[in-house]
Amino acid sequence: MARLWPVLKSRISYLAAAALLLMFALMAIFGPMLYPHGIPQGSQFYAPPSWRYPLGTDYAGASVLAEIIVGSRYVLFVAALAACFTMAIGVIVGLASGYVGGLTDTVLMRVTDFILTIPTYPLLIVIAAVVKISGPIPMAILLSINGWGGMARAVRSMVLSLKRRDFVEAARSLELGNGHIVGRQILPLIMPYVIMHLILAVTSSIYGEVGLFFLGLVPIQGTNWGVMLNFAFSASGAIYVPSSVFYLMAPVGAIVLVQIGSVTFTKALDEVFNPQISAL
Amino acid sequence: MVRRLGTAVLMIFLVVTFTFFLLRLMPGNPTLIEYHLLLKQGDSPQAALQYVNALYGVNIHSPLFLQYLSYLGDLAHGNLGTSVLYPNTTVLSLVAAALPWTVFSVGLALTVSAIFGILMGTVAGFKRNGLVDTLLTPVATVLSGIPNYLTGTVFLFVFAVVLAWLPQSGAYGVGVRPGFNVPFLGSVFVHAALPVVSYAVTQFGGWYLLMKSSTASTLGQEFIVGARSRGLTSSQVIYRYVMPNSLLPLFTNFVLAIGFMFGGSVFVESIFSYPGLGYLLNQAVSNRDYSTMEGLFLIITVAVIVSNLAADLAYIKLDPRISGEDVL
Amino acid sequence: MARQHPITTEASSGAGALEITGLSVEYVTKRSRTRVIDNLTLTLQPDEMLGVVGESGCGKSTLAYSIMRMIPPPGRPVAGAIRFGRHGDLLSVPELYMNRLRGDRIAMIFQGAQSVFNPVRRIGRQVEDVFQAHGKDRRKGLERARELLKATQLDPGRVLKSYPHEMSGGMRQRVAIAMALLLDPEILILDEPTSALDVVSQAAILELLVEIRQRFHVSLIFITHDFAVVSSHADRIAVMYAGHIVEIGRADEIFRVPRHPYTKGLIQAIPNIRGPLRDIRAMDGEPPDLSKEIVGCPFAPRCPEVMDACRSYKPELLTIAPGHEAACIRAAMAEAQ
Repeated sequence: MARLWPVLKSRISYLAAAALLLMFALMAIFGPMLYPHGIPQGSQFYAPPSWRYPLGTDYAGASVLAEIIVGSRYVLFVAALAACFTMAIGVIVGLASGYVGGLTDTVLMRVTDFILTIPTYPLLIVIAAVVKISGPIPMAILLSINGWGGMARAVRSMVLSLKRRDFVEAARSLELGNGHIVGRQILPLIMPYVIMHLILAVTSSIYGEVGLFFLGLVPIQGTNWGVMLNFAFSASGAIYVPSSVFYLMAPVGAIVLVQIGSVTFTKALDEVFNPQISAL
Repeated sequence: MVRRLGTAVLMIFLVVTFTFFLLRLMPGNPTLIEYHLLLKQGDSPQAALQYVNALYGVNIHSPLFLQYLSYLGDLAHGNLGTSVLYPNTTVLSLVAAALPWTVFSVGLALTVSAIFGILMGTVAGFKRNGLVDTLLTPVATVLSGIPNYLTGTVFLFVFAVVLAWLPQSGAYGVGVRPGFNVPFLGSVFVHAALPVVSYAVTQFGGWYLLMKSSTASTLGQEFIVGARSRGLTSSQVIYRYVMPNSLLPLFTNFVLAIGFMFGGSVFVESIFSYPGLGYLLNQAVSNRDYSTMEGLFLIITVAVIVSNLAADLAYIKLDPRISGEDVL
Repeated sequence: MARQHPITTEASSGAGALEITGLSVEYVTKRSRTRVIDNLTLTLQPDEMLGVVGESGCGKSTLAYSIMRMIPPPGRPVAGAIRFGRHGDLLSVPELYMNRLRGDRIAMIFQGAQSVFNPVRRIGRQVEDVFQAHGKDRRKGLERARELLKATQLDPGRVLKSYPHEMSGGMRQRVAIAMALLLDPEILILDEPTSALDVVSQAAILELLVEIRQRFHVSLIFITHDFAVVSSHADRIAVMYAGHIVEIGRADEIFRVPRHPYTKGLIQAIPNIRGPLRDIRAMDGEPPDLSKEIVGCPFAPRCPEVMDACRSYKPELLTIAPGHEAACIRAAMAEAQ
């Protein structure tokens, strides 16, 4: 982490991306506390931005900015959780497959191939339609259900190449135990890759999550970015009212900002972890 | 070759099985829910059973394994069951009606985005840090990750609502007579414009980035230096030496993208009420039309598997380095 | 192909040679400026085979790329001229004209012949491309290719239909040579043509070169790090060190009485038995860092015969015997006595 700061400093875009992600994280953690009495309500529908309502008001006169801030917690929390699940499954499957090898490898890789083949959105939609999803944890599990395939493949190939390295073979001949070898020697080396992809997994989880809310396939509860988009199409019909521009574009903008921040920050991390690549 | 075919068949079989048991073993088994719903509504167990049987083609009281076998048997005959939402309509005919719209819009979007992405990516790959590279690379990086429901929402709002240049929904205008005539075809293209652009904008980034890196890596290879040393003209070098090699890895992506865009059509088609497979799936899901849902999921997944297989086979044909070798 | 620059192909009137004068090439990046070739002067005689020998990084490949005007960026010539008969200075002719010369009047063969062909295009098509590029008849071109391939002991019918990966490394290098000769070039540059090959293929390629010299009027520049390879085949040898030619002269004379201490070191490093070829870096020390300014003789830090004057005075190439030049103070002093 000590190496992160010089890289961030080297480009303004990296600094901005880090600040953006930090802002969203803070927003998710502390945002709802800004509005202890609920979302401020005005009397004017689709009001343009003002000091009181920096992003205007929605179809019912509520502050759009407040909705974005309050809504960030659920979206980002579930997405982060889903990303962690995705990475955990991917790493475990990849490690098991690569390290144990043999039949375990064959079976796990077949399952991985299968998972990678099934198109993500239709699967999420079908499962969400059949199973009642409520609460952040089932939601996160659903979102991680088929995102781990690529991670498992990548971890497996890294483990396979690490297994042949001298220090791992030396540790094996010393009979240091599989737990020690995997935990102390292999895992630390694949962690940079995992961390980089964790951030990207958060963004793709946001897409899946917001998409499910958007289609109205998961029970609507409280406010979040997906619900805002859903209401824009269904309940409020905001999409068909030109003056709703701020209400409509606020969640879109929030998601795009998270995407820009994540992609740029991942690039910075890539420079931290692979200095020789970025030197080119 | 035979092994790949076998893998594909096995995959399809697994998907069929998975779909079957997903819908029956999950806590919300639709057939049971339906059955109990009917009982609650006051139907006799007999009538309820008959109704469920007719809808899903399954007898909920028979063992699951037998249900599975009869499901497989129906599938083998191309019978995907009957729709709940549209009574007396087979799922197959619903799919047949929706498929052309999805193929048309998805195919057009894929072609447009691939052509633009490849052209721009080639330019950026040739001129690193040039104008195209500097301007488009950041944009493409962001676009390549954006889900198409965002672009769809923005385009619908801007072009169909605020500016009202293009229609908001449907595949062709009311009062246009379907057939091979100019007003109909014109209407089809006008209605497809926004959905197609919504897909294409999100896909463009991926093509651009792929082509840029592929071109750059091809240019770095020795045979390009070799070609130049023989005094080949720059158009020869670009079209016969660089592009065939830089396009080759993209070909697989292209075929795979066909399958995956079928999956992504749910959002765009729902936004624009475009009567393709994705719209149908959304309709089926929100109306709890399980047999249609099941059939659609199956068809979309099989499309992905088949395009996987097609990509593999075509690649063998295209790249002389692997033909003849590990084909079998 | 809009305009084609006419290039006369008749045998030149004794001026087919290449005259390089004061050539300097630099690789310039934001942080550094590396002079890989420094004020190099060299004349290639018609029909001769000139061996260019030196360790990797001495600038010998850059010399080849300079003649082709294909120096990979960020490298570029910063001074000098490369006069090529009636075509003028290769460093200043228009790029289109230069491109017409490439493969036509000047051809080059690379170390990595394994990958010098387009992997997804049949050899026959790649032959046709050369003729098309130079505005010649493709049909006749294939005829010519058949002859040349036969001369290189290959089955023309099979080779022309093959993809590059279907041939062995040795075969590909022979095809590369045949392709370089397609348009009867006046100059053929070979950049380490044998070092990626096994011993048997190496011998076959060298034999082929001897044959080519008998059949074609072509001047050869043979670049290698292996003194043994050129000593028996080349007419003259130029020894390069740190971007300079440090010694040049008739091959047998240089081999017999080397004047520059670096040349002596190279010759001593040749294994006695002509076995598998070793890298000649058996000499102590490393070549100097070319991104820094070098005061005195660049070889001084490694030179076993170094004197005080060597560290402050940069020696120029001086004739020490007819047709034999060396850039060494000690050699010059020995001659003067």
